Amino acid sequence: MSILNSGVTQQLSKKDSKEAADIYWTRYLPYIVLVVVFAAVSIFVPYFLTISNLLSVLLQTASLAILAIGQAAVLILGGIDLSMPGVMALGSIFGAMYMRAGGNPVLGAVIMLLVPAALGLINGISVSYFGMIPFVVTLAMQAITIGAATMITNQISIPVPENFCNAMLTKIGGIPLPIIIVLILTLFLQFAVTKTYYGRWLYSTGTNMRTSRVSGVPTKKVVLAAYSFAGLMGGLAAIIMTSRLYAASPQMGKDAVAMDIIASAAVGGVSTMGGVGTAVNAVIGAIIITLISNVMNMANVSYYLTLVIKGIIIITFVAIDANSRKKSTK
Amino acid sequence: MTIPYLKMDGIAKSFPGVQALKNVTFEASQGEILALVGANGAGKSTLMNVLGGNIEPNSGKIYINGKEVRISSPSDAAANGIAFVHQEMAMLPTMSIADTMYISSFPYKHGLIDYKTIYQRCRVVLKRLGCNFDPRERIRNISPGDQQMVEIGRALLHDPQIIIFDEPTSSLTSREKDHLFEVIRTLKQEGSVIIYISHFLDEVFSLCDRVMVLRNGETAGGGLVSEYTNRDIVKMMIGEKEIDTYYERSEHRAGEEIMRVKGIYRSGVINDISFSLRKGEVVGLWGQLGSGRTEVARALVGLDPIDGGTISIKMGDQMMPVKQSETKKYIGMITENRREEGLLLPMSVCNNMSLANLTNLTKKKPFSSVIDSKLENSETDKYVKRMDIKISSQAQRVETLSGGNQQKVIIGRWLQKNPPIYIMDEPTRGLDVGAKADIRRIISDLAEQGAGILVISSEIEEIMSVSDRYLVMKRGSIVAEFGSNASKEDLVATATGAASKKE
Repeated sequence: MSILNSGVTQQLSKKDSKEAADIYWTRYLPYIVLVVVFAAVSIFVPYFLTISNLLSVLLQTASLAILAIGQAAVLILGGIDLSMPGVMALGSIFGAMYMRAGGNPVLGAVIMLLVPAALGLINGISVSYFGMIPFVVTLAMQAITIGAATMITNQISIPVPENFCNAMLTKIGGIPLPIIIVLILTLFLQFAVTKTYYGRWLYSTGTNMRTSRVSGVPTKKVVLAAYSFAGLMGGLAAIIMTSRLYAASPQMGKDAVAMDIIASAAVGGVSTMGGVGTAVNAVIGAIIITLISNVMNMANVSYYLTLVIKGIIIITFVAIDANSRKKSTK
Repeated sequence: MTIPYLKMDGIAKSFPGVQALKNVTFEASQGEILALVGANGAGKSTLMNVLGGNIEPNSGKIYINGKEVRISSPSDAAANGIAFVHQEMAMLPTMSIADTMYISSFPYKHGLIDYKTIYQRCRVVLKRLGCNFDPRERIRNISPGDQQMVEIGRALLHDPQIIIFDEPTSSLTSREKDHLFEVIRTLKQEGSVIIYISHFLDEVFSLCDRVMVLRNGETAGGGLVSEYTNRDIVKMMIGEKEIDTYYERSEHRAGEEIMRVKGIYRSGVINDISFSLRKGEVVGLWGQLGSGRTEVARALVGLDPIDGGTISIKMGDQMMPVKQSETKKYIGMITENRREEGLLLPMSVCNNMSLANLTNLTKKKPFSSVIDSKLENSETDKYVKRMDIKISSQAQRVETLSGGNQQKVIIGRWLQKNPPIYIMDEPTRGLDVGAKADIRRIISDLAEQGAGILVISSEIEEIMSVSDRYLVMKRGSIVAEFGSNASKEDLVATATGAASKKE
C-alpha cells in the first residue's frame, strides 16, 4: 500500500485498474484542483510566486490544515465534528487567561491543547458509548463552547504575552515554526493511518462498523480516539492561531470556520461518508480553500458571497464523492 | 362436496436459479381453518404471496367463489376480500393504533383525515377481537400480543372473506396465543376462509381442521387433520425417498471440553441456554427460523446483549468464565449476513483477510503498531491458496468476488487468527453447490485440527453432513439434544414441536 493512498485506494492489478480508474478517478481530483487554483492565482496575482509570499500563504494555512486533519480523522470514521471552532476558541481563551494572570507560557500552551482535547473526549464518549448522533452532539458542543467563550470574554480579545507568540512564530532555516509543525504532523499521521493497525482500524470502522465489530476491532475505542484526536488538533490550531493574532478571541470560533474545515476535507478528497481520505488530503484541501479565500478577499467579494461560494464548493465535492460511491457499490 | 370458496389451480413460480412452486393446487372452504405447513423454503410464503398479490406467478389460475380472478397487486387482493396478517408486524411504534390500522387508506372529510369515523370503526373492530384499547394509544405502549391484535384488526377493516395468518404466534406468550386462537375460531364461525401458516405442528393439531403440506414447491399431501398423526406430517414435510447420498458425513473425534455455556438468557428472546462444546467436534444448532438459534450465536460473541448466565472457555487446563464482551477473542464468528457484517466491501481481499489478526502482523519493537505488509501479504496468500479462493490479486476489491469466494475470505480471516472456537451462522447461504461443498470441507478440516465448531443451517441435509451432535431449539430454548445417529425426522419433529406433548 503506497503511503499516499489508503482505504479503498490501493495498488491494483492490471485487470482491475481499468475498472478502478473509472470509479476512483476522483482520487486525483484534489491534486488537479490544487494545480488549477495555483496556476490561476499565479497568473492573476503579481508576486504570488515569490518564496516569501508562498511562505506567508502556508503560514496562513497552518491552523486550517491542522483543523482539517482533525476533521479528517472523524470523517474517515463516518462521523462529523462541527464543534472544532468553538472548542479551539475556548481552549485559546482559557490558556490566554491563565497567562494574563501571570501563568507560565508553556503551561498556557498545554492548557490550550488539553481543554479542546477534553471537550473532544466528551464528544467521543457521547457518540461511541451513548450512541448519540455526531451531528447533534457536536453542533450542541459548538453552541456551548462559542457561547461560553463569548460570555467569559465579553467579546473582548485577551492579549497573550509577546514571548509566547514570538516563540511559536520562530523561523527555523527561514521557515516559520507552524509550517514545520504541519509538515512533521502530516508526515507522521500519513504514516500512522496508512501503516499502523490503528489506521487500518480507523478505515475499517468507517467502511463498515458492524463488520469491524464482528471481527474484533475495538470500534468504540476507535470512535472515542478519533473525536479526542479532533479535539487535540483543535488545541494545536488554537496555539498557532493565538500566536498569529497575538490574542485569544471568541471570533476564532465562529460557525463559519466549521465550513472552512469541512470544505477543506471535502475538496481535499476526504469522503464525508467514511472510509476514505488521509492527512495529506486534508492539508491539500486546506491549501486550496486558503487560496480561494485569499483570492475572494483580494477581489473584494463580500463576506456573504464567499459563504455562498464555499457552500456550493462543499456540495459539489460531496456530490462527486457520492456519485463515485454509487458506481463502486453497484 | 361443494365447490371450494377459494381455489388456486396449477400455480408455478420460478426465481432465478430456483423453481419455488411447481404446479401447486390449493383449495380452501368457508368456515374452516386450513393449515399450510412445510420446511423452510418449501414454498409456503411464495404461494401465499401469490394470493396476496405480492408475487405474480408464471402460470396458474385463482378462483374465488367459482369465478376466475386476477390478482396482480395487494390492492387487487384486498378488493377480492383477501387479507394478510404478516409475521413481521409492520408496526409504526410512535404512531397511534388508529393511524397504524388506517395508514394505507385514511378516509377524508373536507380535505382532512376523518378521525371521528376512524376511531369509531377502530373501536368496533377491536371489540370484535376482544380488545378494549383506546385507538389513540401509541403502538409502543402496548404488548406484542396486543400489537398482533392491531395487525389483525387492520386486516379485518375491510371485511375480508379470506384471511391469511403467517406465523402469527412467533412473538406471543402462551396466554396471548390462546386469545389469538379464540379470535381465529370466532372468525371461522363467522364464515371466513382461514389459512394458517405455521412452523409448529402442535398448533396445527390444536387449531386447524385441514392441513396441506408443501415440499420443495410441490404438494406433498394433505387432508383432514384428524386423519393424521404428527409423524405422518413430519414424513410428508421431509420426504421419505430423499437419502443423503451426495452429502458424505464425516466423523470427527471429540476431545476435551473447550467452551461451557451455562444458563444464558435474554428476556423474551432466549431462555436458559446451557451446553458445552468440545475440541474437534462440530455441533449443529438446529431450529426453525425465529427459534432463537441466531440470537444464541450472537449472544455468545457479545453482538447481542444477555441478561444473565455465564460463558466459560478453556484456558491452559482450566475452564475460565469469560465476560461476554471478551469472548470475541476466542471465537471466530461468521454471521448470517455476509455483506452487512462480514465484509469491508470496497476494501481489498488482503485487508479483509487480515482484519481480525492485525495485532499479530506487526513489525518488531519499537514499531509494534506498524503493520508488516510483507507478513500481511504472505499470510493472506497462505489462506488464499489453502482455501482455493479465486482472485486476480490480493488488491482486488472484495465486492467484485463471487459469493462463495467472499465467504471464503471471511472464513480465511478467522483461519489467520486461528481461534479455538468457531461459530458459523448459515455459512453456505446463497452459495452454489460447489462452494457449499468447499465450505463443508473446510468445516471438517477445522474440526480435525481440533477446533470446536457450532454450525447453524436452515438446510437439514447440510447440518447433518457436518455435525457430530445436535442441539435443537424451539421458541428460544434448547428442547432436545441428539448424537450423531439422529435421524432427519427426529430433528424436524422436535423443532416443530410434533414430538412434544400438546401444551
